[in-house]
Amino acid sequence: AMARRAGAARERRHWRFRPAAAWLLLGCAAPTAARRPEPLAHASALRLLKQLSSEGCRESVSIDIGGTLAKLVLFQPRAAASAPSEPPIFDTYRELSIYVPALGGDLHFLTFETRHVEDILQLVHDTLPRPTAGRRGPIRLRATGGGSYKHAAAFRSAGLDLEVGDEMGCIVMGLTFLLRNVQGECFTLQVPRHIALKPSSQGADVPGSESYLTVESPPAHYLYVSIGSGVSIVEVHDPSSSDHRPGRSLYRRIGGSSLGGSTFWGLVKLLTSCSTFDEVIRLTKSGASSNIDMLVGDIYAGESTPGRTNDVIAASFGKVSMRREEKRRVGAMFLLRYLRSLLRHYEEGFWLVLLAILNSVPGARALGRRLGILSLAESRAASMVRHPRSFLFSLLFSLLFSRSGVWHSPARFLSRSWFGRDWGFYVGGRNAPALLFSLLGSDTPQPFRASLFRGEGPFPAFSGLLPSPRSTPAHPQAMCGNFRAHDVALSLLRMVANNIGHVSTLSAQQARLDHIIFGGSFIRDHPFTISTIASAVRFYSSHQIQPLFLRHDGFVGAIGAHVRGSAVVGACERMPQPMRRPNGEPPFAAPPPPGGTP
Amino acid sequence: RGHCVIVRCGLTGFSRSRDGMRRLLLLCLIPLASSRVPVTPLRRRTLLRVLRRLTLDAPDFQGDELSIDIGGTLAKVVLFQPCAPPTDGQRPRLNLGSPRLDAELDRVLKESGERELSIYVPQLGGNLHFFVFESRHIQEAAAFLARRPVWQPKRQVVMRATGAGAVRHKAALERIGVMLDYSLDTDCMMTGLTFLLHGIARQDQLVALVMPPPDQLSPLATPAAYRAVAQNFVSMAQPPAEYIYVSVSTETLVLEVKCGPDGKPRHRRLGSSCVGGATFWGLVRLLTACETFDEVIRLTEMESASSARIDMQVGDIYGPQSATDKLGMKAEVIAASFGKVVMERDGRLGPKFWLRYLRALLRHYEEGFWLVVLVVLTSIPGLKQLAKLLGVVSFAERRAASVAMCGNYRAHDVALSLLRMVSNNIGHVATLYAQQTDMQHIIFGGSFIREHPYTIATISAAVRFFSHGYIQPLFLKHDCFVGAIGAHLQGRPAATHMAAQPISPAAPSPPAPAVQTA
Repeated sequence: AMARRAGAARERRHWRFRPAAAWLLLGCAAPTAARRPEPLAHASALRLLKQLSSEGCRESVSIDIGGTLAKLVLFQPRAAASAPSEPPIFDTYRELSIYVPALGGDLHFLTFETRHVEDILQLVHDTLPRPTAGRRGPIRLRATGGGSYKHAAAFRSAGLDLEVGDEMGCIVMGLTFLLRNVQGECFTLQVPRHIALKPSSQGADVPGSESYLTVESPPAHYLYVSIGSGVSIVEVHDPSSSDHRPGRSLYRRIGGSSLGGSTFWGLVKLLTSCSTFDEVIRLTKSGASSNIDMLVGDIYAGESTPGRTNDVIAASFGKVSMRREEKRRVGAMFLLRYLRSLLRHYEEGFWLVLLAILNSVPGARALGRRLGILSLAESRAASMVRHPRSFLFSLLFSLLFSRSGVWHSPARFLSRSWFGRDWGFYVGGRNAPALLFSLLGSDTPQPFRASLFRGEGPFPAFSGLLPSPRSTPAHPQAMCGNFRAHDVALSLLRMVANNIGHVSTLSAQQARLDHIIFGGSFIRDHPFTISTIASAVRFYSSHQIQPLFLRHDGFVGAIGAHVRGSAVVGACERMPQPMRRPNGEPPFAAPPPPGGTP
Repeated sequence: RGHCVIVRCGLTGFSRSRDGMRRLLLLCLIPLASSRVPVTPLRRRTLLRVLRRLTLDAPDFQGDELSIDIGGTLAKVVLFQPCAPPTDGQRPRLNLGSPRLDAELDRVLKESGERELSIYVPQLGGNLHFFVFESRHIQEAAAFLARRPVWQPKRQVVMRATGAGAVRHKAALERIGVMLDYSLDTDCMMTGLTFLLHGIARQDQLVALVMPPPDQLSPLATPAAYRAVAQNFVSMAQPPAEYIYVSVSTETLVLEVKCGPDGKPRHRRLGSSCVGGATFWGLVRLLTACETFDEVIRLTEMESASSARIDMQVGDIYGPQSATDKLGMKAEVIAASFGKVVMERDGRLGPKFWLRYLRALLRHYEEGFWLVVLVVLTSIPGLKQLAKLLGVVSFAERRAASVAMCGNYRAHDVALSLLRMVSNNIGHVATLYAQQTDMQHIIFGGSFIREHPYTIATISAAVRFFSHGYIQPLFLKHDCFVGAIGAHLQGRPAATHMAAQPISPAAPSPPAPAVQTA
C-alpha cells in the first residue's frame, strides 16, 4: 500500500508542477512523471557542484561512490513549520525526499554514473576557481564506498575534500538511522503461499498494491543484503531499534557474491541493444521466462511427483542449451554459418564507417546525435542480432522521435534561456509524439499507455481504443539469437534475483536470523524484482524467513555517510568474526580475512 | 527409413566415419592435468551404431546390462559386459562381438590416440563402459534397442533408468517397446557414489586439488594462472564418511550424506539452485558463436583469455592500493561479474572509430577466411584426415572462434568470465549448505564439470575462499556417471551392503528468533 501511495503522491505532485501553458501548447501532452529520473547526466552533475561551490556549505552533500552508480544525499536545513524546500537541482528523486525532524532538515537524493566521475572532476578542476584564491576553502564532502578511495586524489586536485568513512560502518549507520527515524521506511511483500511457491513464469506479474505492507516495528536482529554492482551480506544486531533512540549496534560482514546488479545489467547490455536500465525493465514486462528457462515441469513433462512443483525454475537458460549442438559439423552448415557471419560483418562494418564519418566531421556528430543516428549506429554496430523488421522500426523511430530527438533539447535550451527554468522538460521530451508512439506500440510513457489501454490515468477518453498491452509489446521484434530479447532479459532478471534470494537465505539460516532486509541500487523500486526476491526467499526458507525492503534502498550508504558522527545515531561496532570450528585448528589452512568472490 | 540408411552406412562405411568412431570412446584415465580430453557426447550416428552392435549382433540382449541416466541435457549410459579379469598390461575395452570389428576399433583408437573410458570391477565380474549422448536422441536410440529383424521373435527390452528425463520419456518409450526400470535419482546417485568411493578396488576415484591457503590464492583470472594450480591434483586415499554431494548438471542439486548408526550412509536432499551447467552453456550460446561445449572449453583455455576485461574487480572499485589496505582483499578478487561491461564508456571520438573499424574489418576477414578453410577441409574426405593430422583443423577452429567478438569484447574473455561466474556461484552455494550442516567435505560431480581442470580449479578456489579454508572440495573421476552406475547397481548383490537410505524427512526446525550478541 505504501509503494502505491507513494506513486500516487508522486503523480499528484507532478501534475501540480506542470505549467498550464504547456498544456495549452501541446493539447495532448502525456505525463512522464511515473518514471523515476535516470542517473544524473554529466551536465547536471557539474551544475550541482558549481551550485555547491557558489552557495558554500548551506547544503551539505554526502556521496557514496559505488562500482556503477554514485549516490548523493543533499541536506537542506529548514524549520519544521516552513514549506517543503525546493531541491537545489532538478534531477533529484523528488518522491524520495524526506523531512527528518531529528536532523532538522530535508534530505534529497540523486545519483550519477561512476564512470562520469573522472570527467566531472576534470571539468570541476578546469572551471571552478582555485580554492587557494582565498575566497573560500575547499568544499568538503562526506564520502563512502570504494570509489572514494580510488578517486580521492582526483577529488583533491579538483578542490573537493573527501571525508571518507568505512563502507560497512556507513551502511549500518544509515540503515539503523533510516529504520529508527523514517516512518514507513521498511516494507514487505505479502505473497499468497501458492504464488510464493510457484514463481510465475508468464511475464512479469506485478503484485497488486494490497500486497505491500509497511513494517511498523523493524526487527532488531537481521541480515542486510546490499545489492549494488555486486552483493554484500552484513549481519546487524541493533537491540535498541524499537525505542527510536540511538543505541549501540553491532555488525559483521559475513559474505558476498559477485552475481549482482552488474551481472544482470552487463549481460543484458551484451545480449540486447538496450541502453538504459529502464528500457530493460520495460522489456521484461512483456517477456516470458518459460521460453528460456527449463522448468521442473519441462524435465518431468508435466508429471508432478509429490513434493515437486512444476513451475519452479530448474535451470536458468536451460532451453537455450537444449538447441542442437552438431549442425556446424557438416560442410554445408559451415558455409551457412560463414555467410551469416559475413553478412553480419558487412553490416557492422557499414555502421562503423558511418560512425567514423559522423565522428570525424565536426558538425555531423552533433547532428547525428540530434537525429538519433548516432545511437542507432552504435547499437547496430554492437549487436547484430535483431530481427530485420525491428531494424526498420528502430530506424524509423530513431530518426523521428528518439530520446534525444528533435524536440527535446531545443525546447529545454529555449526555456532555460528565456524563463531561467528548465520547463523544457515538460514541453519537449516524449510528450509531443507520445500519442503516435503508443499507436505504433513502441516506446510509450507508462501512464499514457495505462490510459489508452486500461482506461485509467489522465485520458479516460482514449480508453479501449487499443487492445491490451500484452498484444502490443513495447519492443515488437527485438531478438537475441533465436530467442526474444524480452524473454532473455526477464530470464536474466529472475536468475539474478533468485540467486540473490537463495544465497541470502542460506546466509540468514546460517546466522540464525529470520529477517533479511534488501537494499542497494539494483532493486530500484521495481516491483517485479522485489516480488522475485521475496518469493525466492520464501521458497528457499520454506516461509521461515521474512524478506523486507527499503524505500531509500540505494541511498543507505550515502545517508550513513551523512549522519556519521552526529548524535542521531549511536555507536556502531564491528563484531569479531566467529571461528567456524570452536574447538581448534582449521583442518586445511589458516583462516583468511573475510572477502567477496575469488 | 532413416534408420535403415544409417545402418547401411554403419556397416559399409566404417573407414569413412572414422571421426565418429574416434569420438565413441572417450576419456583417458591418466592424470587429469595432462589429459585434455573431456567427456564428449556421442553423435547420433555413432550412438545408433553402437546400439546396433549391442542389439542386433547379440541375440540374447535383454537390456539389463544397460543403465541410463537421462538428465535435462545429456543422457549418461553405463554398459556392463561380464568378462574375465584383465591380465597385466591389458586395459578394459568395449567388446563389440566380432573379432573383425574389435580389430577395426583398436586400429581407429590407436590412430586417434584416444582410449576408451572403461573400468574393470571385480565385484561385478566384468567391465563397466561409459558413454554420453544428448537427451534429445533418447527416443530414437530406444527405438533402435527394441528393433528386431522381422524373422526374429519380438522381445522386451528392460533398461534400468534414472534421472528426470526417465520420468518424462517413460510413456513414450513404453510405446516403442522399451520398458524402464525406474529408480529415484537421488537414490541412484547415492548408490553410485558410495560404490565409486568405497566399492571399487582402485583408490584413486576421488580427486582433490591441493591449493595454497586462501590468502595466498592467486586469482584464476587467466589460464596461465590456473595451470600452476592444476598441477596439484592428488588422489584421496581415504574418502570421507560424511560429506555434501553437489551434482552440477543441467541444474545444481545438493545432497547431504551422513553415516547412519548401522554404518550405512544416509542421505537427504538439501536443496537446488537454478544456476548450473545449463545456465553457463545457454548464455555462452547466446553470447558467442560457439556451437559445441568442447569449443567453449577450448575457448576458455586460450592463452590470451582473461576475465579481468569483463569482470569488475575489487581493485577497479577501490583502486589497486587501497583494496589491500582498507579491505584486506586482493585487488584481483571479483566484485561484480560483467561489471566492466556496465562501465563501458560510450563517447568515443573520430580517429578511434576509424581504428576500431579497421580492426573489426581485419578480424572479420580473418574469421571468414578460417571458416572458408574449414568448409573446404571438412568437405573433401581425404584432405580432412590429413589436416587433422597436421592440426590445421583445430587451429582453424580456434582462430575462427577466438577472433569472434561479443559486442566490444573478445569472445574468450566473455566465456571465461561466464565460467567463473557460474563456478563461483556453485562453490558459494555448496559452501553455504556445507556450513549449514556442519560438514567439512564437499564432493562435486555431474556433467558440467566433465573433469575439466579449469572448472575444478575455479570451484575449488570458490569453496576455499568462502569457507575460509575450512571446507575441502573433492572431485570424482567418473563424475558424469554417478547416477547411471547407481541405476546399474540398484538391487544387485554387489551393492546391497552399501545401499544408501534416505534420512526420514524431519520437519525443518524454525530458526531461532534472536541470536546472542557478542
